[in-house]
Amino acid sequence: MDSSDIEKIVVNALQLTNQSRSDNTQIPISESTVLFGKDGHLDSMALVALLMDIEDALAEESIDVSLSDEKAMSSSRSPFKNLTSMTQYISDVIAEQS
Amino acid sequence: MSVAYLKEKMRQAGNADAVAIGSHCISYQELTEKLDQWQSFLANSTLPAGAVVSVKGDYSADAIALFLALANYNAIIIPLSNDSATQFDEFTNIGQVEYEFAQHDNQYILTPTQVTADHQIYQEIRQRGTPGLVLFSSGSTGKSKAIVHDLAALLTKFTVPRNTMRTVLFLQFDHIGGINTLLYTLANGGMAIIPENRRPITVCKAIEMHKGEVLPTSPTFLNLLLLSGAAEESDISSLKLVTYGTEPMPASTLEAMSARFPNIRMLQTYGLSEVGILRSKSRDSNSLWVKVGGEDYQTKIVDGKLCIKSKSAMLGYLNAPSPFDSDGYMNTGDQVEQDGEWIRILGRESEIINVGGEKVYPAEVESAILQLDGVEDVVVVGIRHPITGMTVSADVKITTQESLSEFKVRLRKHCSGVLPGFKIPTKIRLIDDYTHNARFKRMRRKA
Repeated sequence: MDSSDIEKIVVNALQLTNQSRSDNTQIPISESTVLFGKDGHLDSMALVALLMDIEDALAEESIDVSLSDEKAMSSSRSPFKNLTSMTQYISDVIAEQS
Repeated sequence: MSVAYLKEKMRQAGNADAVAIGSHCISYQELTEKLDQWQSFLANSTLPAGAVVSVKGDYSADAIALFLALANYNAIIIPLSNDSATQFDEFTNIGQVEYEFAQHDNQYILTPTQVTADHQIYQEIRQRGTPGLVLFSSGSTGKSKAIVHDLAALLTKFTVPRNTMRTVLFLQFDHIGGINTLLYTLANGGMAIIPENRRPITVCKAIEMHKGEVLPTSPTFLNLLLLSGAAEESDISSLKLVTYGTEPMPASTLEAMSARFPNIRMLQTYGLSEVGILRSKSRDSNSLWVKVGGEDYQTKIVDGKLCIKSKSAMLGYLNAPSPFDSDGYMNTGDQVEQDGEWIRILGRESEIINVGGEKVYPAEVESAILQLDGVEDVVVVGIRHPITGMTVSADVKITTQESLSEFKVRLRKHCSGVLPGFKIPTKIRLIDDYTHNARFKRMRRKA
């Protein structure tokens, strides 16, 4: 699975998140959108839900990974900041865990 | 109360129906005759008084008579109903069963096991010269505990005459609720209605056939009753009272019951295998606020948790330390809200999900999810997560053809309208099987 496939999965998961949200809390889906952190669109609960949804989508592609390891939390640069860092983090986790 | 007292009450009831199993009714007279037979069997047997005896099988005239005869014989009884068939060996072991009564060709046969039961609590019962009863906790949140009661103390509370009722016996006699209903019924000349299984339609048909008046059950069963439409296919207009306990009632299920059956009074009961069933009063049929107690019970609330002292409390666990404090109170582990003399049960302390420091009670989330169309069953648990400490996970059984993604959107949209963000499930799974055990209690045991 390459980066563009992973990015697609993240985008799909974000679209799923948007479907459950009201019109005024939609997350703009673009490279520059801050997802989590200062001025981010997701609070910690929403981030957890997004990660769970991404895990479910990866599981459908027969990739069983956990995106909730301690390392990501303590990493100096948050892997959950935006679409690019999130995609990179997920490919790293897949490479590591599979 | 001794068994002799109960037997006298049963004799007075004469030809009235005592027990209905399926369509077959057994009169008090037949039951008393069977009791006579078992008493003389035991009197002529080599069974020592104080022996630990298991009785395997579900309710039958024989099983009930044998149970009462063993109680009269001062045996220590371990009832093993088929609800826990997969745990028979485990329970037999923990309970140090010395003799087994099991059915062969519809006959109960007594077999020694060559085990000697020397547990200190058993010795205490033998010294008292009273019958004993061993029940096992459901283990919904962990390992089953063996709970030892002085059966004579349990029987005492049935000496106060109460209403004669036709009551559905929903639980077997290896459950405190089942024992309570059975003894109440026999002591008051009522009729115990035993459905052939616990499917909503079977239970409703049994109520229709025997004009059942009282249904003691669990919230999970009531939810299935509403969804199944079984009440539309049967005439259950004889039903006056539904009592529910064993797990927190989802507000949504209670509302739906009251709306669907406005003439049925809804009463919450509160009981634990360790302390017995408390008398209780719901503020009204629509209310989750309840007053518990009764003449034999004292309650106090410590750190938000309900503590109970009971005259008929168990003597102790066979396989766990005593849960009683120095004043004899047992901490139930149930978190409650208090409003004067009324309390509302929020859930078990051990089941609270701590999401980033905020408390979530599974029952509240389950209640919200049950409001969705097409949701047949749901169980909510907490799972560890490094971001929020714990997070809310929901396993849901649905009747619709939705994909997981479609259902997630519908669930989260609905929940965000009725629950704060931290209570909304992050992990959602669709499941094929029901989440409850054989007694219709939701199992939250973590895999």
